[in-house]
Amino acid sequence: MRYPSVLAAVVIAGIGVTGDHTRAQQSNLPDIEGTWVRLDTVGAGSFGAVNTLTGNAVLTPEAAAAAAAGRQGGGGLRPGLVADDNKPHAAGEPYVVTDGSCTLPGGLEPNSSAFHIVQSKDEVLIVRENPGLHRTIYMDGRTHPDLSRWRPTVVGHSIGRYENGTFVIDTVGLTPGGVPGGGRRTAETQLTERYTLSADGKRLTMTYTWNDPKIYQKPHSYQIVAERQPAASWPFEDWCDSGDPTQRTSVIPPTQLP
Amino acid sequence: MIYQVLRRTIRTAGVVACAVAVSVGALSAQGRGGRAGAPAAPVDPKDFSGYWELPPDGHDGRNIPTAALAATVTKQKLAAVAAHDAKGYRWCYNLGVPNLMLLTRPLDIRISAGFMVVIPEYSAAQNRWIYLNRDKHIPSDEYEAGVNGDSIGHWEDSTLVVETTMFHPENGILGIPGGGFRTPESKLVERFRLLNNGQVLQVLSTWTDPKVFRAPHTYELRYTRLPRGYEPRPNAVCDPYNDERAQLFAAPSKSTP
Repeated sequence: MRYPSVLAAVVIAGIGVTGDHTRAQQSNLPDIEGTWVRLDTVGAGSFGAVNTLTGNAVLTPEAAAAAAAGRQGGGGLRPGLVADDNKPHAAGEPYVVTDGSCTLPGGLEPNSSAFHIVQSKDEVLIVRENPGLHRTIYMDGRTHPDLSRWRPTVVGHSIGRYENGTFVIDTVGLTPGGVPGGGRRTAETQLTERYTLSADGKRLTMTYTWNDPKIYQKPHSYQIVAERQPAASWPFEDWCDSGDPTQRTSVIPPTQLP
Repeated sequence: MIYQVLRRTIRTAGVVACAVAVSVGALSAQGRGGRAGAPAAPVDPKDFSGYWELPPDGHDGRNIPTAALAATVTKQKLAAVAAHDAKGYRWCYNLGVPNLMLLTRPLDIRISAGFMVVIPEYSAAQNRWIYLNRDKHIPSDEYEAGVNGDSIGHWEDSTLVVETTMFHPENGILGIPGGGFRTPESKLVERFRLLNNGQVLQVLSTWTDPKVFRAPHTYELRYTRLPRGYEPRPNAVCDPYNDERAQLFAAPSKSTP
């Protein structure tokens, strides 16, 4: 009877630490751990042009009306600050593009900064390079919480699994707001992501599919591709000083040369 | 009679405990988790992955002696560092090493073959990356110094030894627990290991910097593992533009009759 205990201890010691990531490699799970950078080949030039990548969501009439009314959620500037009015500004006239806070909310899709994936036994973490709420994808078989007891966040509640070499994430509990391609979301909206690694392991194709019969006439789906960075990469720290008054007037048009 | 009173007291306490548990549960699903307690199965001594929290009582889980400072550390220098850090707390400077490790909200620590990441439940703190896939620091002419410095780790039996250096000279909070402050030349060596069958994470931190410390300055932190199934609450927020919060840093509140 002692041998099974000894064997169990050896097995546990073997799959631990060195283990979480190595096990993914050894058991044919997709090895998505590392540093990635979003690789958009279309849509450059403006944020609006990113819709070339995401397509346009087909909304229900009710959701389309709500979107048209501008009820897409989102924040706003703090009291006392003046937002950019989209008009030309004279040289030397500062205007606001951020509210000066050094904290960022985080979010689902990668932004233009690198993002980092940590593949551990019970969780997969997706961490943006800049500050902000990271994503935690629970891999231990738990279910989503009762949404009536859930305070929505920008990253929601995510559970994951591996399906034939694809990493699949299911997310609910998001803060109401906009979705790329003119979509919308509420806490009840379901997002399914499928992460597929290229054969050479250098490209990660992330397919996003939004489902919510109250919002979409059909599932709203688009893809984002990321490129793996060298193994020796490290994150940059994003630093700013909220106590610096220029943080709140972050654009000052320069004087134009004659 | 005594027995009846005792039984009624126990029953009442049980009802109250249940009511508290239900009300806490009804507040939010975040922070939910399973029961605590040592697992029956043997624990991998190198598996630090989990949620870890310093004891809520500031006198527990922390053994921080007073640092022996170098003779060259003047009162003026200490006052300048204190003023810098006071401004940093006022304006929500992002925390890094070492103060990130002293947060009283849980730290999500995940370890894999390549690195260990420490993620706080706090908006004004940087995530910390400890590299296990290299044994040399990033060349200083390539590295942009930050509040966490550059951390590399290696195993000595079941102890993870982490060396950190190349801190930013000004960014973040500079003060070190027990006294002194970090500089770009400071070196921190931390020894992480599990105690109590994996339920406690011990971190011994030793700072060396001849310009700051007369002798290496060592302190110990002990984190408690949170129950399996714990889910982080939304980040605690530090809002530098909250006027009422700002008053806290201006002067102690005056009591009003």
